[in-house]
Amino acid sequence: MIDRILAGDQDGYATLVDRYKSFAFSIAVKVLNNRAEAEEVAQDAFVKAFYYLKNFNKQSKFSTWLYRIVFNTALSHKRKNRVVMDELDQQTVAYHEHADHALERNDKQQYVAQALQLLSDADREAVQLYYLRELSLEETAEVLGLNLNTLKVRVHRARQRLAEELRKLLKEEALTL
Amino acid sequence: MNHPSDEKLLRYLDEGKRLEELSLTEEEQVRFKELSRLHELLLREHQPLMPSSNFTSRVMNSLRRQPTPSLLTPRNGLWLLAGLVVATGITITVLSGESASLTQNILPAPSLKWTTPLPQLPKPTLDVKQLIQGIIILNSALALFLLDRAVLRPFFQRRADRLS
Repeated sequence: MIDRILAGDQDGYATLVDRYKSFAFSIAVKVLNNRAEAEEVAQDAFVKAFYYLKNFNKQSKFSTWLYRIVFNTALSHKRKNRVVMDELDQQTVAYHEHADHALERNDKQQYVAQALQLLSDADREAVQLYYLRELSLEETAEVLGLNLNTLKVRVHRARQRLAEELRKLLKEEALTL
Repeated sequence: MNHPSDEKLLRYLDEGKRLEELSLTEEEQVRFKELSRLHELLLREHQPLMPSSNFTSRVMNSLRRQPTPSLLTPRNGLWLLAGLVVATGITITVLSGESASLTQNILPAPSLKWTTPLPQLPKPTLDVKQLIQGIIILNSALALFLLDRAVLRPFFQRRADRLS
């Protein structure tokens, strides 16, 4: 398929886009926490991938290579648009961003979403990509540009922190009842 | 608070093991239940999302809008530039007059005696030297244009794309 696209079958690329768009979009949403921006970034990443296709060396899977482009494009976009806020504002924004979906989720789901925002960017990205379950640990490490042990440590640390945050939030909920 | 058995328990979770299959202490069982609950919530939180229905067509439209790559690739441009520089250099060398002695050495003119006078050719109105100088200037301008379009612009465009 890739050889056909490189030979000039541009429409064949539409098949690849259809196949991988869901996970590519999911990665962008997890990094940017905003669907509209994520869609724009995912589209840009697919366009970039088309032009870099001649440099794809086929030593890794195409999906891993593509998702790495998506992840890096999303990170660059996030860095360009970063607004410095104090911690309280960040927590408030995190709460409000998830408030839109509160009616669709139960409370525990909402607490997990909130707790995820309390992690460092690096730990959050690691655990989110891990839980998307599309890639193996090795492939996830490749997408994030980390070595395997570093990824395992980050996922492990993130889950421990989330377990603690969830326990605190559920305890507070129990106390307010 | 970090539990010493967390690494083992998280590994069991990742391997899909259930509590009934494991022999754990009471404390480990409580912790395993906590981590299982978190694991389930995280799995539910991370279902793959679908973009808008026209996502693929928008990507393909963006590709069609991009300018088609021209024959003037950086490599072709560099070869053409090199050729122009060489041609310009040779022409300048010829014009500078040093070629007179060079050609004499390469092509020694035989000494001839003409018995009949040679016909007089009309003097050319065009100054060949000026014409060649004009061609050199044009060549130099073309070389600068090629340097910009074929080498410098693609280089900086690629750099800007990489940085973005």
